[in-house]
Amino acid sequence: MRWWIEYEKGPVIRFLSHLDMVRLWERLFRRSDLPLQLTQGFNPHFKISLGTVLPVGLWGRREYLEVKLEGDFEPEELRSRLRAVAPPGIDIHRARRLAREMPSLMAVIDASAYRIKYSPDMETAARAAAQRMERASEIRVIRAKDRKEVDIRPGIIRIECIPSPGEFILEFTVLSGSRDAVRFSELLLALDEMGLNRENIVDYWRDGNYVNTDNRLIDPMELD
Amino acid sequence: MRRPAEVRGPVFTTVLCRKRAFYQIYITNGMRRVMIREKLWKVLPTVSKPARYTGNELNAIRKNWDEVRVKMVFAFPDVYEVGMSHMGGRILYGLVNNHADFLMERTFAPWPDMEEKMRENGIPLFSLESFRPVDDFDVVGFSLQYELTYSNVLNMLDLAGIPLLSRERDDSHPLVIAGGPSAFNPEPLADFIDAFIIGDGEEAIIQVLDSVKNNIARSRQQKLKELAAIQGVYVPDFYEVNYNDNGTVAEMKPRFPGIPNRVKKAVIPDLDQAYFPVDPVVPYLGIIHDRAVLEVMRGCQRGCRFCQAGIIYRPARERTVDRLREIARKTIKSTGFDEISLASLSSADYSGIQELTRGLIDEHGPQGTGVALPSLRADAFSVGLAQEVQRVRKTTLTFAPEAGTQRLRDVINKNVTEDDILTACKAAFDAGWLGIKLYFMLGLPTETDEDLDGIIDLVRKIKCLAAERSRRVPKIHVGLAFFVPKPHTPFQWEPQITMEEMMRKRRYILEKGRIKGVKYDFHDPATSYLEGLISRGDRRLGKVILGAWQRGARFDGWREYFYLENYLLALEAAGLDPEFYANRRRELDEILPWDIIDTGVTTEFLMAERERAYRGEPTLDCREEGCQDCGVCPGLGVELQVKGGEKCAGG
Repeated sequence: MRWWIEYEKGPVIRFLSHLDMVRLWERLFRRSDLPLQLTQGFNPHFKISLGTVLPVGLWGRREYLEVKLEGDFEPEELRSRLRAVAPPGIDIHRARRLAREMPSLMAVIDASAYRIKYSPDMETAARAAAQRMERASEIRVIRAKDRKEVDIRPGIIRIECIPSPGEFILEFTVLSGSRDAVRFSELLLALDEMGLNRENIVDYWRDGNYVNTDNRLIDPMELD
Repeated sequence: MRRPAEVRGPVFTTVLCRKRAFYQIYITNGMRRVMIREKLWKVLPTVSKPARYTGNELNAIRKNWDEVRVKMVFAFPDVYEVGMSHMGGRILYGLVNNHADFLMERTFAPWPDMEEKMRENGIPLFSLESFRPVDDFDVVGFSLQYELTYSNVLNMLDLAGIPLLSRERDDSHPLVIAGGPSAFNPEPLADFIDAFIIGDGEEAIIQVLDSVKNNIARSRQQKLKELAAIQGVYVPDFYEVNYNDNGTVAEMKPRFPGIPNRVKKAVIPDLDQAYFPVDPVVPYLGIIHDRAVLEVMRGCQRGCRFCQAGIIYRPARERTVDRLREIARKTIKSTGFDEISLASLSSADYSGIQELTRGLIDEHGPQGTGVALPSLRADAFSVGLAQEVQRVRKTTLTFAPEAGTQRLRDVINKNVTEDDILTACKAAFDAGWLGIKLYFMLGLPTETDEDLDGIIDLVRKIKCLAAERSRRVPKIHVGLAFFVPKPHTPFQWEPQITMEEMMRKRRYILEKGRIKGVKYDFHDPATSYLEGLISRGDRRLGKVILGAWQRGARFDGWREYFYLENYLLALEAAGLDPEFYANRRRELDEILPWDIIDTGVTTEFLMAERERAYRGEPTLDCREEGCQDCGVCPGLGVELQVKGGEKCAGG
C-alpha cells in the first residue's frame, strides 16, 4: 500500500542535508517496526522517497514523503506509531493512503511557499521591496550553480506581506520542479538587490508545498 | 571555591586568547547561552557541515542542569564525525548520565572554518546538549586516541577560555582531565591536564565524579589530592621530574606523602557486569562508523610485539553471547541502525563468534540489518565468518600480515604463516571477493630490504591467486604504515627509523613492486615521525606542543592541515633534539617517562619478549597455551575471561 506522509522538519534540524534526511527516515521507520517493503537485490533497503527536498539551512513546516507498506493501517495508527519514534525536530502531521494510480509526489508537487521573517522595524522597507518585486517585469540574479544570470520573475506566483505582533513576514510562492523553478537562495539574492539587508532576517523557512493547477494551489493531501 | 553557575553572577569572561584584551565581555552566564545560540544562527549557514554543531540528535541526553551535583563535558579533540564514531565516548556518555548526581554533555573540535567564525564572533567552545560554554562545567574530560590530536586539545581549551597551563588555572576553572590509550604515556600533556584517568574509564570515572561531588567546595589542589587516591588516576603536578645531563630521566618522585610512586591502571574485572549503552546517540550526519557497536571483548592475548593495545587492555575479557544478543536487540530497537559491528581488537578470536554471528543474522537479517566484522585474522576461519555475514560480496576483505617474511613475522610474534595468508586469500577469491586489502608495517626492528622484497613477493602471489580465479583484474590494495615504537611494548626501547629511511623504503617498494592491479598506499612519513616523537616523549615536550599550537598547529592528523615545521621550530625554540625522542635506542636500565604508569604487565616480561623477538621465538596465546607470565592477572588481581559459550550470569 502506498502512503503519503506530511511532516515538519523543525528548526532544530534545519541544517540537515537531503542525504541526512533520507538516513533519518530510514532509521525512523526501522525503529517503528512497521512492515515496510524492502527493495529486491543484494542490498535491500526500504522504499521511501522524499517528495520534497529542502535546501540545507531551511526548516519546513509541511514537507512530504512517500512510502510503501505491507498490509493495511488506519492513518491515525500509522501517524502515532511514527510519532512515537521520531527524533527531535520531526513532527508527523498527516498520513494519506493512496489509490494505486496516483502519480508520485515528486511528479505532482510543483509550487512552494517560502517565508522570511524580519524584525518589525523592517516592515516599511520589506513592504517596499515586495512591491518593487511584484511590479518588476523581470528580476535578474546570478545563479550560484553555474554563475549564469537568470530572470526569476516568471517563477514567482505571488508575494504576500504578513504582519503580526512583534514580527513581519514576507511570503513568496514560487514554482518548483519546472524549468522556471525559483530556488530559495535566488530569492535571497533578489532581496539583496532590493536593498533588504540579510542581517535583519530573524528566520526563514518553507511554509508549504503545493500542486499548482490553473493558478490554484492545492494541498497534496487533498489532491484527487 | 567554585561558585555554582546560578549564583556566579556577572563575571568577566575571556572568550578568546589572541586579542584577549579586546574581547573581554561583561555578561552573565544566562546571557552567554542566549548569545551563543543567536550568534550560531548567523554563523552556521556560512560553514561546512553545520549539523556538526547543532546537537539535538535522537537519544541525546539533556538533563536538568540545576538538579545534578557535578557537570562534566566529554571533549573529543577531533571533528564530530570521528568523535561520534568512538565507542568509549558512547559508553561514558550513557554511564555518567545514568547517575542521578551527574550529567555529561559533548563537545568536539570545530573544523577550521568554524573555528575562524567562532573567534571572529566571540563564540566560545560550547556543549551540544545545552549550548553552554565549556568553562561552565565542573569537569572537562578529553579523550586521547592519538598523539596528533594534542594540538586540538590545546585549541579547544583556548576556545573555551580555559588557561592552557594547568598551573595557571584557579578555583573558578573546570578540572581538566583526560583518558584513552594515549594517556598511557601522559607526560607530553602533563603541563595541560590536571588529572589523567589510566585504564578502563567506566571503572574510574564514577569514582572520580563522586570524589569531585564530595569535595565540590574545596580548593582545586584539595580536589586533585582526593582524586590521586583513586586507582587509575595520575595527577602530573604531584610529581617532580629530574633529568640526567644526557637528557634522560633521572627520577620521577611524588612531591607529597600519600601520592603513589606508580599509578596502577583502572580495570574492569567482568565485562558482563560493566555498563554498556543500548541507546547511543544517533547522529544525523553520516559519521565514520555509522552503525551499532557491540563490544564482544576487551583486550587481546595474541601478543604481537609492536602492539600497544595488546598490552594496555590486558587481560582479555569476553562478554557472553546472551548478553551481547540482548545488547544488540535493544540497540537496534532504540536507534534504527542497519548494521551491527562486532568490535574488539580481534573479533575472530572471540570464543563465541560463530554462535553470535549466526544468532544475530537469524534474528536481524530479515529486517535488512547486517553484521560487520571489522577485525579479522588472516586465516580461512575468518574468511568463512566473513562469508556468513556478508550480504554483498562487493566489499573488500582486509588482512594484516604486517611483515613480508616469516623471519620478521616471528620477530613481531605475528603468528600467521604465508600458508595461512594464501589459504585465506584463496578462500576469499573462491567465495567471490574481487578486492583484498593488505596491511603491512615498514621499519620494524631488524627489518632489511629482504623483508621488503618479501612484501612484494607475497603481494605478487596473492595477485596470481586472484588472476587464476577470475578474468577480471583483481583490486589489491596494500596499505603500508611506518612502525612507531610505543610505550609499554617490548619494542619501547627501539629507535624509530628516520624520515629519510622511511622515504627510501617507500621508493624501494614503489620501484620494485609495480604489479598491475595492485595499489600501494603509504602513511605519511612526517606524520609517523611526529607520532613517534610525541608518543615516547617526556613532559618537556609540553613546551613543544604549546609552541606548535601557537604557530598554528591544528588537526595534525589531517593531511591537509599538517605542517611538521610547526613542531620542528617549536623543538628548536625549546632547545630539544627530535632525534633524542624518535631515533634513539634507549638503554634497558633507563628510566622511561611512562614508567610512572603501571599496566600490570611487568618490565621483566617486556624485556624477555624483546629478547625472544631478536631470537625470532614465538610467545603463544595464553588462552590456548597457558599463562605466559606477563604479570597482568596477579598484578591487577583480575583474570582472563573466556566465556563466549557460557550463559550470562549477570548484567
